[in-house]
Amino acid sequence: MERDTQPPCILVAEDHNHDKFILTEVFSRAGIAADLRFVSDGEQMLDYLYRRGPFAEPGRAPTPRLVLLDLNMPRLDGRKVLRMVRADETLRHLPMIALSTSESPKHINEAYSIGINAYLIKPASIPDYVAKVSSLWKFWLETASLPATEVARP
Amino acid sequence: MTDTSHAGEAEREPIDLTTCDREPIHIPGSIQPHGVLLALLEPVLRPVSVSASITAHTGLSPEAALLMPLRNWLTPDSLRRLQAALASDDLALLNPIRIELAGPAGGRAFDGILHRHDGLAMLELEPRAEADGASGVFFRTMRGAIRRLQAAAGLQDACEIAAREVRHITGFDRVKIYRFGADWCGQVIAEDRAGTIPSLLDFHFPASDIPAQSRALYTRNTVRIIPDIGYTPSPLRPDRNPLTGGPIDLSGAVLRSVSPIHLEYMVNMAVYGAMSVSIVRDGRLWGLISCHNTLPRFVSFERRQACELIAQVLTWQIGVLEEAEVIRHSVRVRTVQHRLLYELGGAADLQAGLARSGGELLALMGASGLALCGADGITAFGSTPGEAQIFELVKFLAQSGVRDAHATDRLPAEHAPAAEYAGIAAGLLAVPLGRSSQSHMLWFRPEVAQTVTWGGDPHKPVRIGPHGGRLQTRASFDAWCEAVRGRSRPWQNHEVVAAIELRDLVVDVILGKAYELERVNRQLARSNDELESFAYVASHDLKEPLRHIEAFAGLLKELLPPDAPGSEGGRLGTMVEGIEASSRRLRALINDLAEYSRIGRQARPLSPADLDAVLAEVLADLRPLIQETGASVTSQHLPEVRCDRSQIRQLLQNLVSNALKYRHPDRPPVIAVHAVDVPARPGAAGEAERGGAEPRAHVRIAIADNGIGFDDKYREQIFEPFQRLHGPDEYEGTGIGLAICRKIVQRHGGTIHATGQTGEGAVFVFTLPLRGLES
Repeated sequence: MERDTQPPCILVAEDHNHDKFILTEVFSRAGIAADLRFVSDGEQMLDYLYRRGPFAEPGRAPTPRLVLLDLNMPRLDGRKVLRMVRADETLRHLPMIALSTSESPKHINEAYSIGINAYLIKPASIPDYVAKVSSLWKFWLETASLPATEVARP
Repeated sequence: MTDTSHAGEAEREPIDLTTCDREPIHIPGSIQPHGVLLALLEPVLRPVSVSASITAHTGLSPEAALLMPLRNWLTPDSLRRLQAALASDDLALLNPIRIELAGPAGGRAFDGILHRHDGLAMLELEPRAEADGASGVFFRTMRGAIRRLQAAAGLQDACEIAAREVRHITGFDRVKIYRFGADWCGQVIAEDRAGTIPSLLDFHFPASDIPAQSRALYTRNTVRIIPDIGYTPSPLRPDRNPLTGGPIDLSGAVLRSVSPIHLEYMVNMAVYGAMSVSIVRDGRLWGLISCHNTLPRFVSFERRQACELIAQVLTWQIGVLEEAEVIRHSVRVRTVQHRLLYELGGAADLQAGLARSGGELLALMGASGLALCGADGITAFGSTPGEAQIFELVKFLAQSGVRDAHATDRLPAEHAPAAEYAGIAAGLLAVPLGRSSQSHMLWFRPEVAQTVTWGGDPHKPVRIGPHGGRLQTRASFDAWCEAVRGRSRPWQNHEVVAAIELRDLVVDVILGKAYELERVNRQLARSNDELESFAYVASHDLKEPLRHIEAFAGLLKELLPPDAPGSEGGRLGTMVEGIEASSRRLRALINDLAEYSRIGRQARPLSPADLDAVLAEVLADLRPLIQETGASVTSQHLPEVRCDRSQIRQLLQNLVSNALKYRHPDRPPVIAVHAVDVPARPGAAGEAERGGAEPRAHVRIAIADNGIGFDDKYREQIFEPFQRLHGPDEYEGTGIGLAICRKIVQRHGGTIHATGQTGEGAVFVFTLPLRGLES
């Protein structure tokens, strides 16, 4: 599946440093060589996707194969970002996976109805987390065929 | 105590006690022979009647005395004193008048005691004892006696002092204070005596022992003396008042002769000298200072006057002390009321508060039992009739239209069924608690005869005189017992007032409680809402850092080398495991808290649900655990209820899994789920028999197990959130399960409670509405 030797880029919207650390560790324990890029809120995520502001510099924002999205983020909330992405012709095809702590059916339904591709509940135990991330990887990057990666420049 | 004056011609009809109250005791026609009586016609002071005893005292024959002018046999000074006294406004004030004989019997001195009656001047002469009277020693004695009386601490004390002082003044062997009850029965309440004479303290006597006309004479003529019980009456010559044409009325005479019955009674008590001084309060005979001697004993008029003075001071003291006692009582009532108010205010419920103060209340009211009866039943303290009897009594009170306090000391006479329990409640003080005549505060007093025992010596041989065995104190006691059968000590006015005040207080507390309850309820509802939203938010916010702790612990754990225990790595492993275990527990607590808070927040409308089906689902869920533990779960046909099905499912799930979890280690669990008193369908026979107009709104479900049970004292505590009876190492769990159960039941408008016995099992019973709150 890989076009070059570069590991696939995964954009993670996660506001919490602990979660960033844990997710990095989990990817590493899962033996996944991914290029994890973190943004802390919705604003930053849009900046990244549109390569503006701090992400304007070439090479600063490789096009992600997959977006992992915390739905409860400060400032621009994950749901709003999702809506905006799905409304944008150039971005709407991006596979976006929700990473959430909420088990509430209401939250899950809402996320799917506004266009999430998958809803993942963050496991509490590391082995569970590793297992979940592994199967996520297997499905989205090794099983499914993803859309073309080039993102339109503004 | 029999004191009936002698009928002139006693032999005319047989005398017994039943004739006492018909006896014309004021006209006995004779006097006691230790003195002389002269009835004089004023202004010339011509004797119209004289006692035969004049011969013994003066040497004159009665006939001679009737013909001879007084100046012929009295000294001129004596005559002058007599005339001066008769001319004064208050005859009695000058008694005794010193009377000396002139002529052949010259030098003999008498105390002349003067009074007027029916137009006649009555002069009674008693031989004068020397060295009495106005001596300084005697005056000092009296002053000391009065001072001691006035310093008396209480009624009892005052009576004891009076008895002692009278005995000191008179030298009688036994001086007792005899008090009349409202019904004229009497009791010896104080006594001073020599060791040689038996005590009569606390003896009771029937009203018939001192009949009405005797009491009338006691009230008028306050000092009576019988120096020698064995005297021979001395007749009046003639016994005729020329002004009235009738016999001479001796009502005011100190020498008046006494009924042979009274004398025989005295002899039976081995009393040969007697005296009595009346205690008259507000015109009513309150009691007597009664003096007895084993030998004949005469006491001079002046000493008798001193005793009269003692009685007078005692009367004043009684007035003061009785009032003081009423005031003291009302102060005590108020003190108890304040404490009661405090206790009732703090107590979980009125009954518990009353129960704590019950003994004190009974003491305060001089009652032996107290019952509060209202719509919700009877609360009784002390010695009271049975519930059914109280209900009957309350019905009687309602029928007789008792609207305010009702006090009786003879309940069996008003309410015949009370005869059965007169020993407990011959006296009743009923105070309605409210407008409803069904609610009463009832105070009980036992039959008085049953609280008093015969104080005499049962082995003493009984002396039977010519008038039979009745003339004994023992017989008096029996007669008294008969007289007071079915009666209690009467209720005093201040006691009735106190009972009304206590009623007001209880009513205030009840009303206050209702208000307080409402206020607390509102507050609770508010804080409950706050708690629920707090718990919900907190549980979400708490989860985040918790998840991180768990994740870091997990990461850390995988970095650790798989070392043997005891090595550096092994110790670190233990620590990481500690973090993980604590995190798991915290997560469980947070989840339960969230679940607990959700019950109130996610209120679904109630709809009919078949409990049998719900239970079947629960059992299906629990099948692995049921199989593992070898449990047998049985259920009887359960009704359909209106409920939030998922919550009721959780309720049953929690209770059944609790029963499985807290199983006894030595036996497989046996769990029974059944409806208690399944409500009859409307129109069914059972319903009609109970007289229930409305079909019942609730059903009770019981879940009984044979597990480890619990100490019954925890029956409330176990329903509190996070209250556990076991450590987390013994049994898993956060202690929220039963709290959730209670909340679910409460949300449905029902109640849940548990009973348990350590090692024996537990029973949980909850109620659910058949129709539902919202419907």
